[in-house]
Amino acid sequence: MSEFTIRSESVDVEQIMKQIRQRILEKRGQDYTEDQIRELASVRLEKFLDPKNLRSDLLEQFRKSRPAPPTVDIEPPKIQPPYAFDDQTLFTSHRGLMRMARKLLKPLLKLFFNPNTLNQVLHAQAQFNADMLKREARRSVEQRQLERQSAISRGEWNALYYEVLHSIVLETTRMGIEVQNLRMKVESLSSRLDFSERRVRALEGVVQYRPEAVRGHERREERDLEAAPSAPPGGAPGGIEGFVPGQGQQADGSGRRRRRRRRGRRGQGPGGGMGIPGAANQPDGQQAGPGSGEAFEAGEPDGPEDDGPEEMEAGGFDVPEPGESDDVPDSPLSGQAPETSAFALEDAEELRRDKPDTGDDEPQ
Amino acid sequence: MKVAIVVQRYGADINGGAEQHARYVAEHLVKHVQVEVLTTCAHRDYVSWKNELPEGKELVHGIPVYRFPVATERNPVEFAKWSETVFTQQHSLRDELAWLDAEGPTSPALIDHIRTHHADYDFFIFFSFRYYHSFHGCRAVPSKAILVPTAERDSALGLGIYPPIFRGVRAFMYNSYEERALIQAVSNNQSVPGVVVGVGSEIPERSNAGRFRQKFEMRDRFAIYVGRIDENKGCVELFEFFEHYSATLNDSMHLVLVGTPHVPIPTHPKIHHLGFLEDQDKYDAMAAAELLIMPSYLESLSMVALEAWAMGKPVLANARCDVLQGQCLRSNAGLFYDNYPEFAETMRAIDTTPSLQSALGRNGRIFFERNYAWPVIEKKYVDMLNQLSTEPAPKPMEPMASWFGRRRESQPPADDVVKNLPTGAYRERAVGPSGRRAVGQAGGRADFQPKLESKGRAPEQRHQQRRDLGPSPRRDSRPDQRPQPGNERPEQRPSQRDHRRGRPQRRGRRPGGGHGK
Repeated sequence: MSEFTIRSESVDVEQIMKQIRQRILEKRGQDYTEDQIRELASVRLEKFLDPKNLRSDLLEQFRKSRPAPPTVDIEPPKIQPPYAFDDQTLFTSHRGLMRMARKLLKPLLKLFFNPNTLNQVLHAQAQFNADMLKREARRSVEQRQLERQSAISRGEWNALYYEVLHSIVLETTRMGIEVQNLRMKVESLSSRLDFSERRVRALEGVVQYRPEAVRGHERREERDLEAAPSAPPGGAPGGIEGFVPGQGQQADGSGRRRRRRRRGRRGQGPGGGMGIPGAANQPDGQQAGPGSGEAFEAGEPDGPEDDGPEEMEAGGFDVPEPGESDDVPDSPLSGQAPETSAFALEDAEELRRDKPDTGDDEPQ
Repeated sequence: MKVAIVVQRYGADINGGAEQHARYVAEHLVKHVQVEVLTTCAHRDYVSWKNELPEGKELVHGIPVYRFPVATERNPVEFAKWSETVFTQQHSLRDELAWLDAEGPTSPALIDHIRTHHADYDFFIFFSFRYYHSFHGCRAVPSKAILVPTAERDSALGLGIYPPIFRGVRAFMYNSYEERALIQAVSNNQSVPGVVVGVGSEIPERSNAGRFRQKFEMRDRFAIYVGRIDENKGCVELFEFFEHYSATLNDSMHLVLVGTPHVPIPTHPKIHHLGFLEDQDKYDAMAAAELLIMPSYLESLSMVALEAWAMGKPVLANARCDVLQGQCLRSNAGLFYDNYPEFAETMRAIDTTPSLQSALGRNGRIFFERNYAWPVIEKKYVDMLNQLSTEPAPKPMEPMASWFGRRRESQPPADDVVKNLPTGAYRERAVGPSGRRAVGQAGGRADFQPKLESKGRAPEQRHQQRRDLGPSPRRDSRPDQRPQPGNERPEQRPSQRDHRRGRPQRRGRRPGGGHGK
């Protein structure tokens, strides 16, 4: 949220809240719907998991392996109710006389209490007992069925769990590797960024805008043109690998020649062999024409120098040269430029040691 | 001039919102007028209003305080039953009066004292409209009654017994514009003089953030919440939001809770509960905090928010509380949230933008000094008292409904009434070409002219209610209120916001019947 630009006298909460709500709306617009997330998830699985090991019907298998509701087609065993009760049970007897007497005295009994209610209640209780027993029997049968089914399905579930766990472990491992790769990439980018910053600082420390330097530069280049044929083919004065002064340089123009010269001087230091293999492959320095010059340029790190001499001249930026004398090296790396700070030199040394990406630096 | 301040509880060690408000006002008004306090013997137990302090006169910080016993302690079960009846069902005025008796603090002795000694006082300033003492006290001395309603959007505001009180008192000292809009919407009492005052705060001269950090070993940046840790205060939602927010931002600030917990506090490495703190520690904590979070849904005035602004701290408020939202907008000193994405974004904005944080804090300090510094508050009170003392007393308050009228089931559920009250923050607009200051709702919503029929009661119901409550006063007979600073009357009111209709309505008050300040 550091995007907010706040001035003390201009804080408007309403405006800020509008911005915040707008941002939330925008974020929501970028969100995926549930279906899209599912689709992405499936795509990701297909992409990363081995199709041979990935079971597309995993979910279906899970559903199927759930224990089905127990079937009740198996009849429970016959049950024996503990007792039966009907309206005659109270008055029955194995003795006929007694049964007769009770039957005769039944109206008299009804004067004292109502035996029908008792009969009904006990009959209902007997019925209830029988139903309970039946239900219990049925339940025990279902329980046995359930246990059997769950024992069967547990094995299937274990297998599925194993498979899911295996996939999770696999995916987690891949994620870990991916995270590691990303971390390394971030570190690499950080180091590159640091390198770029150091280079920028170095160049800012040594580069000045000096229009007269351009004119002096042109004069110096003319002298270089005159002195070039006398230079040894291998760049001996500077000991530069790949610096190939030759006829091609003269045909190229002054800007390119100037660049080669400066780079050749850089090569005098311990890092002189900074990846200019194109020149080493040349059989003869004299045969190195414009093409070799192009290869040389490609081998240089990106930077303001790569803008080309034309751009430098047009822009008027140049490296400060004390006295603009040919006797004094014009390279900031020579350590003799008074404008160059020690820090800048140190950075420039690092700049020289760090090799840029060589993807585009291979000689043509 | 002699003024009586009537409040449900009073004491130097009572930290309830309205009670503290009343004490502050009494202690500052005493510089200008003679002040006495009339209150009950209730002290700590605000649930039952148990008589804990001795009856009679006592001096509190040099102010005479007369305490009267509570005749009947509150029965929470009975109170809940009556609350259910009057808030959710069609009911009668008798039910509402029974609810009021159940709520308490029922102190007939206090009312008798007011009635018998009314000649001794020029004015009575009643705090908290919803309690027994305010209702019966205002009815006893309507011509001398000044009401500090401390109203918020809760169901009690929709009861039918209160509009005659709102129309019948001499004046109102509102806490906020939103509160004024609510009361005017529910009672149509625009003719009653009223001024938005609020309350100041007793910020210590010096607060030491380092002392707090050292004492409580708090080294990280943190947001602070001060108050009762309760679900009604939005704390549960705050915990949920904060945990989610912390999970999304590694180096986010911590949350420090100061207050008595009434809900479980989640165990989280970035949530620290310090319990109840003494004032000095509390202000030290606020000085050390990056911002104050006020998650409460209902407030008539957040004193803690004002204290935070006084100390130059920004406030993150719950947008569902109209008052807090309005204050944030008016002060340009706080942000507000209505849901988790807004909470996360506003927190992140304050958390990661120091310039925003400091600018909001600076605006808060200015807002406090302009509106809530004690000289400003005192002046508003004194001006109001002087104004009322020079004006003739208006006609008497509408009488209570008749015996049959009180028993007629004519009152709609209070929840329904409150649901249809205007919502939203109340914000003054820039002065228009005509020179009149327009007032409208924040966010550029269309203004509206409220209509009585839109307040949740059918016209016939409202007519019936008026008949029950007696004749309406002639509003034109009210003296015009003289223009004075801070006493501007809105030409228009905030419109209703449909998307806010579904907000959770608090069912009744908290057990103690406090007012959430």
